[in-house]
Amino acid sequence: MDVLLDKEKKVLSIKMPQDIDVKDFKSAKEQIDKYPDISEVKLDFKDVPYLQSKLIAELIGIKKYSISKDIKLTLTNVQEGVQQILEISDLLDHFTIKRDFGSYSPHELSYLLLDPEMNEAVIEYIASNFNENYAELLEQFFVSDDPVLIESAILIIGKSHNYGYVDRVKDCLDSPYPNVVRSAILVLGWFGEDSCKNKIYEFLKDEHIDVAEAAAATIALLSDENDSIAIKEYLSSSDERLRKIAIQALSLINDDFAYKFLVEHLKVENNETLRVQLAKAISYFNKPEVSDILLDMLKEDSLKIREAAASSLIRIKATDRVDQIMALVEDKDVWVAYFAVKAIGALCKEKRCSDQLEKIYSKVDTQVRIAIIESLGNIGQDVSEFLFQLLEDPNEDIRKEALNSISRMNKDLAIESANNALKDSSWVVRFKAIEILEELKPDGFKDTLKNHVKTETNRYVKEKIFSIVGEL
Amino acid sequence: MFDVKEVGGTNVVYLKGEVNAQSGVELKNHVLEIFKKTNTVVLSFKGVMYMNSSGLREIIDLLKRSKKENKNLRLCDMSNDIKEMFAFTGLDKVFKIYSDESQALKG
Repeated sequence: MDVLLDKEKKVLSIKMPQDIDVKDFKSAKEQIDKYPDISEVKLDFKDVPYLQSKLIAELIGIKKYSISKDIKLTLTNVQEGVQQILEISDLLDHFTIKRDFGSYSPHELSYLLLDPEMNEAVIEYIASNFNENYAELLEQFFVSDDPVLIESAILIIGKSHNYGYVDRVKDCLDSPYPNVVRSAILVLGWFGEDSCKNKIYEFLKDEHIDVAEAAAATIALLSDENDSIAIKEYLSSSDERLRKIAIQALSLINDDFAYKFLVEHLKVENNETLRVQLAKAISYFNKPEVSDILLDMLKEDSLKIREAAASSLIRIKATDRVDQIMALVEDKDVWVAYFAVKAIGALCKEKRCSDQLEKIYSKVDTQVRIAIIESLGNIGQDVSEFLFQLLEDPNEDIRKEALNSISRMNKDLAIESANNALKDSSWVVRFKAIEILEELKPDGFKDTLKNHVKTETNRYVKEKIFSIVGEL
Repeated sequence: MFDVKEVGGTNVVYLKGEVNAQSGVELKNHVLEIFKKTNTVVLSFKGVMYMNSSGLREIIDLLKRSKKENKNLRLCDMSNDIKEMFAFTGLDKVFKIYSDESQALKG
């Protein structure tokens, strides 16, 4: 049994043998006794394919022993056979199970890299613990014929910022494997290696879209004043994937040329998804006219485009456009009004905004009314009296949203309203009332919930109450 | 450009407005100063409105230099659009990115 002590972290790692038996648990306990200062014990099951049922009692025993000594017990590298035994014995929830790649040799790790579920974690581990042994492993990967191992080697180099390998990575641009070329392109971007930018340009025309995307991203990362002009060409490609990549790259380059090209392209692009992409891309330019472009996009036919425009206006905090957005809250198109109201709720904190939304409430569609109630909560001005009336509305979504917004502006009224709402005919409203009571925690709220659950009929509401007060 | 607050013993740097070449360099230098006294810094992207490749390059350089000194740089609170920017360049696999500040503080 191998034992390793990390004194600094106060962690004792004990490697359990393949032919594990009762005596091994006993000696594990003895090891724990030897180190009184430790705070965690890791039992490594990497070599243990199966656990006999008689050993389950020993495992529980060592768990109890560690609890009695106030030591955290973690089982590491548990194999499927052992995991199944723990599952059958209903013990899985009682143990902390983790992967610890530190127990694996470089050779063993190279096998784990071939497992798609493990690949990323192993790359991260090797990159974080890079040493001479792993350097040797990388050499083996580079001369192997396995594209997964070569790609892993490149990503390990990129993640560990190991600039000594930059020429090896550059050589991989000539690899016949697209995944290898793609990772090499990305890593050269992370390294700021602009000496090979011209070569990377060639990959924008690559038949594999992942490679073309990596090339556009890396060119954007390495960009200077000439790159927007070169990328612009791809905005007129017949392949919408290439147009999308060009939009993303120009947004990242973010110079005056890039802005001009994107705004021009907005006039001709018909694809809905790409117009959404354009709304986002243009919103990343710090220019005063961007808000106006987004305001226009708020009136487009597509819901997705309107949503992207509204969320972009919110993200760039277009508070200077509140009046123009307010002009749209009564738009004859319900969804224009809906997104305008949402944007007002996020951008304005002034009473004039809550007054205006309150004023138009009765004139607008139900969907917009719900958005108004939510926005009133976001604005934060105390309009609780107005919202209080809405708790009698026949629409359960309106009652629920009104309750929620009251809770954001008037604590006393929210508690009173939530207590009353426990009698609401809609479980959705009762559920919201319980969430509010849980958040505001008025005196005796747990007793209130315990009494309520006796007559509650909805499963979800009951479960919510149990999660707060515990099973009765 | 950014605020710094100590939360539970860890320095959280709240980026604000635009991350470009200039603000990126200032951010990098400031965080490297913080790293002289501590091992972990969280960068919150909650207040980022604009970011470009020059700003991103400075953050990559900050990561490179912090790794060299065995320091932990954690990123959090990114909008979907910023996340897309990191994913586009593959940098979502390079940085330790957490959904929110509390997750980043836990590590």
